[in-house]
Amino acid sequence: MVKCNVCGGVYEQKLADGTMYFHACPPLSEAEIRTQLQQKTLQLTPAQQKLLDDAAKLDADPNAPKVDRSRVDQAISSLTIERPNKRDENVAGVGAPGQPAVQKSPGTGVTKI
Amino acid sequence: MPDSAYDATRGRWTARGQGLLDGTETLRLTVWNGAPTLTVRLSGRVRGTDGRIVPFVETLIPTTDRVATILDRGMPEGELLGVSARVSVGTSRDGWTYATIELGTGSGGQFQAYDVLAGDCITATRRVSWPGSGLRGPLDAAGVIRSITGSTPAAGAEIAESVPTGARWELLAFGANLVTSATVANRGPAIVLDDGANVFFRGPMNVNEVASGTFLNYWSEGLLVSAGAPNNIVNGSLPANNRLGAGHRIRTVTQSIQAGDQWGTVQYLVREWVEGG
Repeated sequence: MVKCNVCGGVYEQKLADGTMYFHACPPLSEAEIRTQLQQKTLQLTPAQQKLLDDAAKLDADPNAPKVDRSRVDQAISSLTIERPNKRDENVAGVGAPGQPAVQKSPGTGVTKI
Repeated sequence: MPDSAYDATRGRWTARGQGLLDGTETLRLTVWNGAPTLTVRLSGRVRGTDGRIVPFVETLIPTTDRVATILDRGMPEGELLGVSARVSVGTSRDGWTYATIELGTGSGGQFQAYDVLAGDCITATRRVSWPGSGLRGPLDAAGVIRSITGSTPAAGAEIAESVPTGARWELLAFGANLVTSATVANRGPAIVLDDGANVFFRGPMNVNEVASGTFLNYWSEGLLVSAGAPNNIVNGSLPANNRLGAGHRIRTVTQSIQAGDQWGTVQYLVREWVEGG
């Protein structure tokens, strides 16, 4: 069992049936995006920032139709933001003779637990 | 005499003289394998210029990561009478290990194919052979049913599973438990399928998953989206007969997920094929 040093995901690299398992970090969750926006540690693209700004304007507009869930929260849910330096163990290409295949992205590695 | 003949018993055309060798040819076995470690046996017979029939046997241990593993064998002058490949050690199933046998010249990166003699999925009992087998693509196989345990994400993070390089999946069912923290909010899980970047399917649950609960979420082909959650079991739907290519992802996206919420017990059922390069 190992723990990904990037996302904290826990997994077996070899499954019970003997096959290989290839972990890939998930994009940021809504909770993680919210936290990083509050901490101002997340850099959105101009298009993503506009999406949130437009949603915030509508949320503040008393004439806008009422919604159960704020438009900013809805907009955050629609974002796909990958983790910086995400790990992706999937094979990118054949390795040198006798060497394992090349991973797409090693991230910062894993810790055995 | 015609240049080729149709072998009705085997259902394929055979070129006259296809097995003639001038001593410069290479016989290449290429295997794409997703099954646990196994050995592939290549065997055949050659009639030399002196008329003697000489058998040959080679073995290849393909990698288990679905990347092509290659065995090149120089051939003597004469005639290739027949060649076949099968799994000799280990277990595979139809769709998990694909092999092609080619005749060409050169080896390694310099190999130039003249002919693809045969191509098919192989197991311990099902071999690919020339003459005999036709050419069947890896996706023509029945596919292998696999139950996969996924990664358990950190608290407050989502699930993401990716289709491995060289694989094609049909996602049959996906299950995961969401243990919600005491923070009051209505969590709304959805399963999301994307191509590695762009979302092409969202399958939401129709039930709010409230604070301090353990919700057993299941998505499946043919399942109706549940209106309620008896015993905290929540059902959602997947596209029927879906196909996911290498690098595509299966993810959860949970509206109002809280930092203390925990996804876990990630288990899913797929039908898998190797794509065979």
